[in-house]
Amino acid sequence: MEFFLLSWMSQLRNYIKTRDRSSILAGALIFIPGIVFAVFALYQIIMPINEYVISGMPWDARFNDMLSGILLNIILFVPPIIMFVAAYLQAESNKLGFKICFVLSIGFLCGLVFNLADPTLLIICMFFGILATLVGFEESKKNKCKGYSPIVIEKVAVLGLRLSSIISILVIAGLVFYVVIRGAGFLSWEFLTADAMAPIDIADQIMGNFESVSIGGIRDFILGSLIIVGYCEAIAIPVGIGAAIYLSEYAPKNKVVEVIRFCIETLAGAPSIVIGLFGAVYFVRMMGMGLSAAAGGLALALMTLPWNIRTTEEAMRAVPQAYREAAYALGATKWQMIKKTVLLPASPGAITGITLGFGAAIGETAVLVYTAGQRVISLPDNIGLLGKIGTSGHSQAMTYLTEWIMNMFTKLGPGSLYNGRGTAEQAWLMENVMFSGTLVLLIIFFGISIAALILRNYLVKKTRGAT
Amino acid sequence: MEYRGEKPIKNRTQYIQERAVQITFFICAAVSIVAVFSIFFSLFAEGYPFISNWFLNGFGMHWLPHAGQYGPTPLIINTLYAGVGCTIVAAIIGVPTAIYLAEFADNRLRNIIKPCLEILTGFPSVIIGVVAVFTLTPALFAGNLRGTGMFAVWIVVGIMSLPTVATISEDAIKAVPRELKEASLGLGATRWQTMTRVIIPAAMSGILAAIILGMGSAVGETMAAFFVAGVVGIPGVTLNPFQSTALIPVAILRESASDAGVGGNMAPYFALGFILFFIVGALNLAIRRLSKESLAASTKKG
Repeated sequence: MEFFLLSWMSQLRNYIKTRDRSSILAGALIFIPGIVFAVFALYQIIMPINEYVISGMPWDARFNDMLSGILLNIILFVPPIIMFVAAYLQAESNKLGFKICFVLSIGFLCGLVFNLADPTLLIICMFFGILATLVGFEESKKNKCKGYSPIVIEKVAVLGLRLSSIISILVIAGLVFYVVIRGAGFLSWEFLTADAMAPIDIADQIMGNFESVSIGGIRDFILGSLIIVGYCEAIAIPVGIGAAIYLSEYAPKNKVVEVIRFCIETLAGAPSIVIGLFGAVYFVRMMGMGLSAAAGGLALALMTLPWNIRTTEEAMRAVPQAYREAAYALGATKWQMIKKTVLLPASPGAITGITLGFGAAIGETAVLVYTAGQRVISLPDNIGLLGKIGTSGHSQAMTYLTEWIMNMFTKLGPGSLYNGRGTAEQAWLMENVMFSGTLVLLIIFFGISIAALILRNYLVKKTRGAT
Repeated sequence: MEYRGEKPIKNRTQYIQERAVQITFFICAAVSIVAVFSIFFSLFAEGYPFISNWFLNGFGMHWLPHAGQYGPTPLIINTLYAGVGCTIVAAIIGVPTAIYLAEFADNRLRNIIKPCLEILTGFPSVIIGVVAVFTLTPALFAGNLRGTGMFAVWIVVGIMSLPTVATISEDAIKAVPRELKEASLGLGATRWQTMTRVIIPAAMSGILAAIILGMGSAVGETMAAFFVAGVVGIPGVTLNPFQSTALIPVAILRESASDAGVGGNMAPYFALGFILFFIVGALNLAIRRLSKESLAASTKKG
């Protein structure tokens, strides 16, 4: 609020100095919708808190609702904040103020179209926003404004850049925070080691208000994920390193290598579901593996392979050319040179990249749905050119962690049969069941990723000492 | 490698060994060619009845598998619409991040942001999707958990393709010759002026390539979009981002589950997969063209 007052004051000062009536008008026009929006947002943030205090919901369920309420209000707070910036800049430099007012009115328009808030409020604000734009435009034509000094602009710009780069940190922190808050309740040693339990049974326990709810375990699912990723990396690591060595050390500049590079890039960008469909045709049916860990691992290897190639090749390219020449000067052949002088200094980068890929592979789902388990694709024999080859065996379907999460989401998550039938508290508990598995996946993923990053620091130090 | 200083090998066994190693590595590299072509071929072969039908009789306007209508046009348009929105979100956050990391960041902050981006690259999309369903969509739709749609897809998938855009455009910005930057700074420009008027124009094609790459990954993103895209597939094209919508990957994943609707016939979904792969391949070709141009431009300048 004070900011609006400040900008209003500076407009007044401007008016006293220049006797320019339009500047005071512009200030007023920005001031009014700013207040309207701020009051509205404050109302939005206070009302739900009041409601939660009155209602007797459990603390954690209330907390979740409040979290989403606050998120909504952050979105609502964006217009007043922009208003403040606009007003401030309007006071200082008419040109920038004009631009921002313009953006503002477009924002109002969007808000109106998408019904983000109360439409009447938005209409009022949009009206003032457009008026402010017009006035600002007139003004900027009248006074040939010089704009800001470049140093001030740079300060504002760097602040903006820093804020946008912090978003990625905030996203990760928010994800971890939310999953831990909701998933930690059911996490126990039993959950990690026991046999799985059907979602229906869990829902029955929760709906029946049992004293202690047992949600079974996910041992098979964790092991399944690890086995599938094991198959995947057993293929993807050697092939990936070999391809990287070829591309970095041997590859001549010709069409074939260009095609190889194009194919690696295409494979890297290939949607996971497309690779899953391909795996269903080739590995599951044509090669007769059925839905199995091997088929899932092979399909997953296609996803991981480009990643492994890229990181290993980057690491090998970073090795100084002088190392290679020194090896040749000592009479080494090419393979001896690669073995002895390139692979060691390249190992920190390559190992880190491959380990990060390992973490990404654990969380993959869409590839595995058609190849490792859950969904059987059976094609009638007369459809497709490949229809008659192979068998469509689907006996030893494999379980994996993300499958468990998806299952629980569809059976117990929002909108499911049981979730809607219970009270808010029961629904909250059912969702928490799903989040406990999500938390396990998150812990595994973070364990691997952070191990990779620590490993890199360690190996860089070590190899630097050795070479 | 440019340098070919190894001496000619006279020993026969050593020669065979060297050749064998080289051929092995070539085969490893050629795996990707085989993979891409067999993916292309298998999708084409499985979806052949529908692909040929679409190309001969026109792409229908209604995707209603239950009624036996398989017109992919709305799905394709929705997918591209989602891709463009995600790309805008990713570019709005990712390009400033790249600029900040390349020029302005101090070491302390860079050492936090870079690993964060690396972790976000491989972050399990299931987790992002699940958390988004409980936090983002209620916030966007005022407590209505089922009110998912295109807008949520834009934000969630945009954030997922953010690291791609950020890291690759950072590389592009860093690849601008130092002389250009120093000349501008030497003329008295501030760092921000140098950035906006010298470095970004020079790195523009690289940044564009990064953005297109982000679009490629956004178009194919399945799991996160599966959670937030919405429950009911709308058979027509809808441009209102607050209505639930059907994208190609989501349609494949969702509808292939309900065997009642599909009746075990996966051919239309293979055909959809073929189209999706085709879109991604076309985007990749565009990137290659762009990066070649930027390479030519930089050598001309140098």
